[in-house]
Amino acid sequence: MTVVLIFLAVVLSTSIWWLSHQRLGAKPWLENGLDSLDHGSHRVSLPKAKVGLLVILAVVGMLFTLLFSSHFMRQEIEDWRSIPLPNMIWVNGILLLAASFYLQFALVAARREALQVKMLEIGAPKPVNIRHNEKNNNSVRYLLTNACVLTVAFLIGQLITWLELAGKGFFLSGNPSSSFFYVLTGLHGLHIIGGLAVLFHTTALSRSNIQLHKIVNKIDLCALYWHFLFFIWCAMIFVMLGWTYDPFIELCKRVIS
Amino acid sequence: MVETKNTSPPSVPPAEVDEVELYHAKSFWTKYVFSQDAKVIAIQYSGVAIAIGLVALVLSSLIRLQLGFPEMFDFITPETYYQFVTMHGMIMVVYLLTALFLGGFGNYLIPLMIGARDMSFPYVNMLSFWIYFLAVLVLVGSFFVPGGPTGAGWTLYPPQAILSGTPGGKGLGIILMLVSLALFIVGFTMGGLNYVVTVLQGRTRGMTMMRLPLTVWGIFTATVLALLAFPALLVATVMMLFDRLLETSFFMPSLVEFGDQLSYGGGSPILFQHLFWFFGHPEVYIVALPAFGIVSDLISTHARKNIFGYRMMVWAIVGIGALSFIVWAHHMYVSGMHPYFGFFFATTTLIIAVPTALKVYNWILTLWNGNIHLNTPMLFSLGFIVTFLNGGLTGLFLGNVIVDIPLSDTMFVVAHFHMVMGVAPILVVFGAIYHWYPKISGRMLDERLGKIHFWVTFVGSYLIFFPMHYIGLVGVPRRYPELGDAAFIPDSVATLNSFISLAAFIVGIAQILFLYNLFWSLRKGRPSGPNPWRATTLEWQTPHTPPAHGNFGPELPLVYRWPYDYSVPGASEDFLAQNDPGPLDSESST
Repeated sequence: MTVVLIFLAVVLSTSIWWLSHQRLGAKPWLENGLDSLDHGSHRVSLPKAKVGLLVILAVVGMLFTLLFSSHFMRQEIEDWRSIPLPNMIWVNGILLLAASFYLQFALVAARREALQVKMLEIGAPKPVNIRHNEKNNNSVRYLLTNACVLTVAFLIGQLITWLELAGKGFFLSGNPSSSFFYVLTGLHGLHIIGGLAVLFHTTALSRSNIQLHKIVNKIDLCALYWHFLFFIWCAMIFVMLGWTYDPFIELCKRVIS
Repeated sequence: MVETKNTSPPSVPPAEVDEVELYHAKSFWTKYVFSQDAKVIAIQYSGVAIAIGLVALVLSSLIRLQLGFPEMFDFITPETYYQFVTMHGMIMVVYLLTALFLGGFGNYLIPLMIGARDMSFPYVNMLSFWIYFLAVLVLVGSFFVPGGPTGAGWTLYPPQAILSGTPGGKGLGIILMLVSLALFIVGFTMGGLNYVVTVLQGRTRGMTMMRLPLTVWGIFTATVLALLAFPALLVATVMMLFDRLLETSFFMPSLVEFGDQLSYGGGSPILFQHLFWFFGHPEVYIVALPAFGIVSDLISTHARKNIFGYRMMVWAIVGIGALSFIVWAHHMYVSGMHPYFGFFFATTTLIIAVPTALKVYNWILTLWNGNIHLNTPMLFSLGFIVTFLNGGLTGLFLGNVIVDIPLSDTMFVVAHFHMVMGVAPILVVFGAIYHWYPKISGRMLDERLGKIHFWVTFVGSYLIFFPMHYIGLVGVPRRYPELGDAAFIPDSVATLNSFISLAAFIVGIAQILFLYNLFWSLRKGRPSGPNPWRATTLEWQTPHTPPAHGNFGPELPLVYRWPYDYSVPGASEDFLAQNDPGPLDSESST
């Protein structure tokens, strides 16, 4: 459960760090009036959808960390034989990373657009280095579409790894290592599919007549979610390859005991 | 931006409050069934939770029938007994208490108490309820499948949970149980997301974290715990479903069943225990923290005195929440863990008693010299303090490895956890319902019926669970449908068991009084007016009672003070509401 506790420590210390900025030492019974306590303790300065997403990421992170912990604990039992991971996973990794990058680029482009709209609103002169509006719109659409395609390709790639493993005789049951492989990648895939629903919607919006600066927040959420799922995917491969196990964990164990 | 006008102190600029696009329901269906209004969802949650809780109450009576009068009832076999025990535990802990405190009270009180129009994501909130409802339906469905529901005990320990020796183990019972839990967790996560984000982002102007009523602090912290703890149960359920359906070996060791070697091998039942209790222990505080918060507000309001040590109360809630994640293995002292681990978990368990005791002291000091109104909510609150203290003291016994080992799996444990997380939170639930019912319905509950309900429930619970401690100390094991002729069990245990059963039936039947009161008062109760308890928090200051859609009329309230300004010197009444700028000549506004 060490991994879980480390993750939990990160989440809890972030929460407590935030709380410590809420003037927990205030004496509310002495401070009346509207503003006396208001300084420095405003709401989190993020859109609520983003706060919501961060909460979801903490929960999803917890879910995967618990599975990683289970993986480590199950690994210590004698019948454990690690399965050879198919090479296809590296291709999949690159696909997901690329999707993540495309989303980040789309976010940058959409933010630029949003900034431009804001500047027009306040009547500021148009900076030279900002690209033409229409072109920018097109590039966001293009980038978002590419991210969709790459993510679907990633899912297909994951299916191919499953088929490849099954072809080699590693099924869900029979070998605990392959059981974990299917469960972890399956759960990760489900999360990707959930995210894809939102990404498809956002992409469709970007291809409609909507002004881009209105969907910046949506793109922001997608990008954050994709980065996070890529990070989880890396951690997953790391755990399943057992890199963390032999030298490092042994060392930690020796230090602890 | 919605601009909130304010008239009183001229120095204050208009508050900027996030724009709320309220969803306005058009038809009966979207208004009362698939409603996105947190208040309607709260009532839906509470209704379903109480309904399924009544099923669990009936199950407990059946358990007591068997324990009090063994071999008298043919329809209770050892198998059905296990099914009753399992479903009683699971329903009470997860489907009643968690759903009622967070889904019911959380949904109703959070937006009203923090001055918001609704939850942050009303649509997700609606989905949360319907998924919970589906989870309950699946759970109820498991009573009607061949083989009946699972009888694995509420902890569902493998390997027995999915073997044929356990009722429902090879049938659909255990599968439906696991599916229902998974659904519950998904639904809860959607709701929990709402509660957290609404508290963080939805507070009205002036409502700082340190001005939140303790009820909101309790529900908020409990939700954070639940969001981080329920994934452990989800992982455990999913992996067990795979073990059961697809013969993986996450939890299942190699074993022989009725002479047949099963295909399992190498799995670790201890792994399940770790996952289960990593959820299970925070779960105790998921139920307890909202109760702590609610009881603080009830005591303060009905003793007309500010809460003693508000800051300490907040710190204690947060501290208990953080600590509750590192005590889980005290449920596993007999699982063969390393003695040093036992020592570690015993230490953390005893440390968590410190903030908890601090809260008890603060409640008592709040009551000290207060103008105590002994009405029903106050009686239930006092009952809670005593009961929680009792349960907490036996917890000190069980938290110590060396005392726990002989007491493990005896009726002493059953008595302990029923006191601490059965009776105590339920007393708060009742107190809270008597307290907030006037706001929800506009009418008072009948006070005399309420007092009878309180005394029968309170005294009755002690008649049930106090003797149970002694039965446990004699060594009577839990989970045994019949005791037989064991040499170490004196005859008096059987007498005591019959007595406990009689007390249980009386307490069970007394709940009809409560239900009758709920329905009777809905039509015939005395009209309550907007603020019958003369309470300070925002939910009592709404323009409509019951609060209308959008809660606060055209303008959101501005918050000028903390929620416990009772008996303020110089004020015209004995309380100042949170949105009351106070006497104009006071030096209060900065």
